[in-house]
Amino acid sequence: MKPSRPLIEAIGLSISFGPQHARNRVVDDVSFRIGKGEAYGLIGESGCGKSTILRALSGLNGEYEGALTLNDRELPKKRDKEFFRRAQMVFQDPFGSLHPRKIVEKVLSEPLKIHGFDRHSERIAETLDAVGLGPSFRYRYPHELSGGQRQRVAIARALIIEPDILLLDEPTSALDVSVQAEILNLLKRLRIERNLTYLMVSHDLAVIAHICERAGMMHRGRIIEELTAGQIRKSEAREDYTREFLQASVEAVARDAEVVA
Amino acid sequence: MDKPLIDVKDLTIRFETPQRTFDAVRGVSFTIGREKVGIVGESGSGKSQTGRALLKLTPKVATISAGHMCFKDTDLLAASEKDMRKIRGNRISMILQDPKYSLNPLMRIGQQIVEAYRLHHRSPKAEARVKALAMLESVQIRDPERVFNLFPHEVSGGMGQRIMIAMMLIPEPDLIIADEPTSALDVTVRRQVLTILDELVTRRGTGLMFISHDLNLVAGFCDRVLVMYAGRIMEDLPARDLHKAQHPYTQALLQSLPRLDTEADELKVPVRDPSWLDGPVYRNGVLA
Repeated sequence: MKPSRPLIEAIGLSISFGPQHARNRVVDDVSFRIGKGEAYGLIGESGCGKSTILRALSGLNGEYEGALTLNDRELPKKRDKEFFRRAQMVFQDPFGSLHPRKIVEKVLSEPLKIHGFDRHSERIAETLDAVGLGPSFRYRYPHELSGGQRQRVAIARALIIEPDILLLDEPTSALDVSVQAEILNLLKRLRIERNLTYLMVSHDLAVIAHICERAGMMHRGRIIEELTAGQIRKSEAREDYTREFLQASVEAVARDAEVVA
Repeated sequence: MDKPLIDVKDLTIRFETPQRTFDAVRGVSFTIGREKVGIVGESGSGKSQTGRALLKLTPKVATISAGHMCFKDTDLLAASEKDMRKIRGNRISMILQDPKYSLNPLMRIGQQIVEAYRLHHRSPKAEARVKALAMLESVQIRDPERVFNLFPHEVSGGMGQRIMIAMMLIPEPDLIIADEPTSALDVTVRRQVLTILDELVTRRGTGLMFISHDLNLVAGFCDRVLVMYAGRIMEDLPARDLHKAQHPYTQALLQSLPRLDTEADELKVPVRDPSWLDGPVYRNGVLA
């Protein structure tokens, strides 16, 4: 790793839910660092707290202990507008995350208006082009788009205000494999083109290994270990739990091919 | 092998609206014995409609036609709505994708399972309760007494899906149609649910039609795989031979997956060849 300071850092992050007498600690003393231009993944089974971390970082949940920093400055619990300009989120379900009664143009022009950007029309055209949707998609409603196209619109909405950070919450798990390939390629290309920093949550190890350089393995609210993409591919883990998780995910097709080979 | 549970020849499902006619499924033929058959394909390939057609649960605007469509000795095409009600749930049951939407949110879990049982078996409530508890235990729910009295919103996704499985298995059907039963679950829970499903299906000799878009999952779990594209079965082959698939579509799907063992800068996106729509199909690695 380069010695430069991380862009995003979590220090002793803990998040609890529930009433005082029955507090449920969902995220427990989690720390991680993400450098500029890096893609960091969070993996783990459902309920391990990975999405909760993402929600806390994105400002959707301000009830956390510990600190989250951006460029070495602690983020206020109530995020300011500047933060939202720099960090945008793409949600899991493109069917739920787009307003059903707003055409694509409206969806894309709102963030521009909120953040006071100029050249709305040109920016919309450029961004649609960048995510591989032609100008014909500009005046469509979400129900006129396929799942993959909707996810592209969701990515366009995040990108249009030129953020440096994308927070990705299982961006492909609601999509077909062939569409997943398209979206993953798109995410990979955009990161290089725009020097973006990703924090990606997924339960699919192959997806994480494809997009991210490093990932934190989560279990019961803690990051039990950090792995590089290479270590994930080679199933090199220190913890038993991680090893089990990695082995559970090795693809059956790959396994069968090995038996024959 | 004895007579297959399901024997379908040239199944076509046609949606007719004033604007246009659309064939969601076009001349599909297959059989399912007491085995695990996976049906894979993208959304819109007709896999779910094929599953639903077996229970005649296609929407009203759709018409089903087929050379024949039989379940054991019953001709499903000729069966009346009344006959179908006896088959649904009792002899062919269906596990749906998301337990959040398919369990009744206002009914306690135990009651729903008891209802499923008593709908098909005349039995006193107390006996049904014992059965339901035993069933919950067999899908590895610890403390079934407690879960029995919970509402669906009080259980996790994985537990909800196991409850669905319990509910669908309790009438002891001959065939289970599972439509994306695990796509709402994550890897570890998925594995657990599949293991339970596998064990119960194998032990009871139930046939399983497993509809999924996840090639890897099907390859590891099923005995046989049918690959559907644009309403047709492109390829029918044993699951262990999936990596030797002949059809360019199957091959393209396999290549579009991110893999752990090989690193790729860019994933291959399947390029759809219009000739696949009516082109040759493969059965067990040879042209059919």
